[in-house]
Amino acid sequence: MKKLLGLTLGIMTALGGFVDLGQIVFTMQAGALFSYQLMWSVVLGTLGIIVYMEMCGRIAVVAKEPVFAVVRTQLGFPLGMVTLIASNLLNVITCAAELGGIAVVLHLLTGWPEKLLLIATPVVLGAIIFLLRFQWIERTFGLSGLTMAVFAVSAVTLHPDWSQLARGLAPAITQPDTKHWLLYGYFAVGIFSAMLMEYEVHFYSSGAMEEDWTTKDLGENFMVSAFGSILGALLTAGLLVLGALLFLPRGIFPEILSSTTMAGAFPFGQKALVLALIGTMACLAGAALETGLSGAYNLCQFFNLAWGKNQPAKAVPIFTAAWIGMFVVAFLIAVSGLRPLQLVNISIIFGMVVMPLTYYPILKTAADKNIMGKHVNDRLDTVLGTAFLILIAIAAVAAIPLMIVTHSGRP
Amino acid sequence: MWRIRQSTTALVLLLAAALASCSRKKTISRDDARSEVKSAISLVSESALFVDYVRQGRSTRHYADGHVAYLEDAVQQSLDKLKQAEPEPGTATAVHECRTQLELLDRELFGIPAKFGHDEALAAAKERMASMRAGLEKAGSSL
Repeated sequence: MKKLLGLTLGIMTALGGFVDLGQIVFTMQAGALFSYQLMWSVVLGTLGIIVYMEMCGRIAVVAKEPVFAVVRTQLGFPLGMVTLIASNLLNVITCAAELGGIAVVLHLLTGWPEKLLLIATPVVLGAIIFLLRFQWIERTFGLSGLTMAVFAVSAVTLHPDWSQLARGLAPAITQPDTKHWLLYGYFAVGIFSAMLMEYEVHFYSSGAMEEDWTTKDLGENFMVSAFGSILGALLTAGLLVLGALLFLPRGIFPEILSSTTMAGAFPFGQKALVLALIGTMACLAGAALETGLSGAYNLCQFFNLAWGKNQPAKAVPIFTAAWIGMFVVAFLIAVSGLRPLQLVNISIIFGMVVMPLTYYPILKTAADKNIMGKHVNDRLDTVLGTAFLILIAIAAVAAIPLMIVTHSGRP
Repeated sequence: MWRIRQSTTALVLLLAAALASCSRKKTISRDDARSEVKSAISLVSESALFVDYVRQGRSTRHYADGHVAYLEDAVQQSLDKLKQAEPEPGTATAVHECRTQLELLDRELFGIPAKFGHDEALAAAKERMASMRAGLEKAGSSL
């Protein structure tokens, strides 16, 4: 039972990372434009995050080094500092988007005023962080996020064409025109980026240390990262299928969060709609917590300050002030009137640009025998890690030009 | 002294030119117009899908009220964008049609909450949405 509950770190990390506001809308838009043609991007992103989540978990256990300590060591102070600022800027923007999204979902659930809910959301999330131990946070949001399964069930109930879906596992362009090409590239990069968002590895490696994993837990580390990521990937695939089946034939390009939740429960009745809304809220809340806490983890790990959710607040004053600060700034951004989906588009694409600076130090450390000893990368780990790092670098270079020429993916 | 005055005048002129270029209406190119029409078709279809969903009794009241307000908001945004821009020659008719249909959709959506629970009224709204879509498709094909 304890081992099963241990999986919740992977589930929360992956659900908060894969199935956050950006991914929900972005993936459905991809399905609405390209049917199943971008399924390969989901698979590629999943493999990439499994490889790197396992590596950063292993580093946390063996070297007792969380991601940002590794970033500082491998990149040096100046470049490490740039990475810290960029990562925390992205964390706070993503957190703001998730807060806005939670207020929307709560409004749809209760009918209460959205502004009031936007004020209440960071207060409640802050109270949850204060009151619950790390393990209970991951269990609560990991398990409640599982209600998102209703999206996958809806997708299967709508009878997707499985052979066409399988053909989507290989990249293919069906129309020769340049605009189509560029849009396809934009969505491929966006899906890949959203699945590898940096805060997932920040949170996962910090979580492994919060839970005091030892080398005995290394087998579990692979299982947790793989299980959580595959679950997240299945839900993401479900979102793509829903976009392809519900929106594509009707010429709909979904740009509203409420449209996507309706799609998640489309073949069923009101109870399923409530379940879809609860699942969406749990995933968005998980993502808000991950980004808020990651901001504090990154800062303290980079400057070698005391950190830990399970420590008393007085023992880790800067860590506590940092996560509270993250929520305050995120709230101010969210309340300024910027739309959650605008924010999330920014974070997905700019997240891709700085991604190599997070993943390169992880690969370098995991492959260093002096640091990792007998737990150093085997040949397959390094080959896969390098291959994904090259893909990440290519996507990072392409991200901004694609965003500009496609007007952020407008068909 | 004369030089300072000359520099100040140049700066003021530069600022005025910058402000004038900012206040100039944005032009809607043929590509933009196509994109706006597509977006309008998407909104009309999304609204029609939602009406169907409500008619089948699958939505909760809170969700329906909230979703219709978000759709209205999206329609308003599209309308604002069209109102603030000048169509390029050859796109004016299509852009005008797009605006007209979006205004109709806005009015239709405004009346939807009052129609909840009235199947015939919702069915009629859906029919009107179908004709809005037809109008938009015609406008799109002219581009």
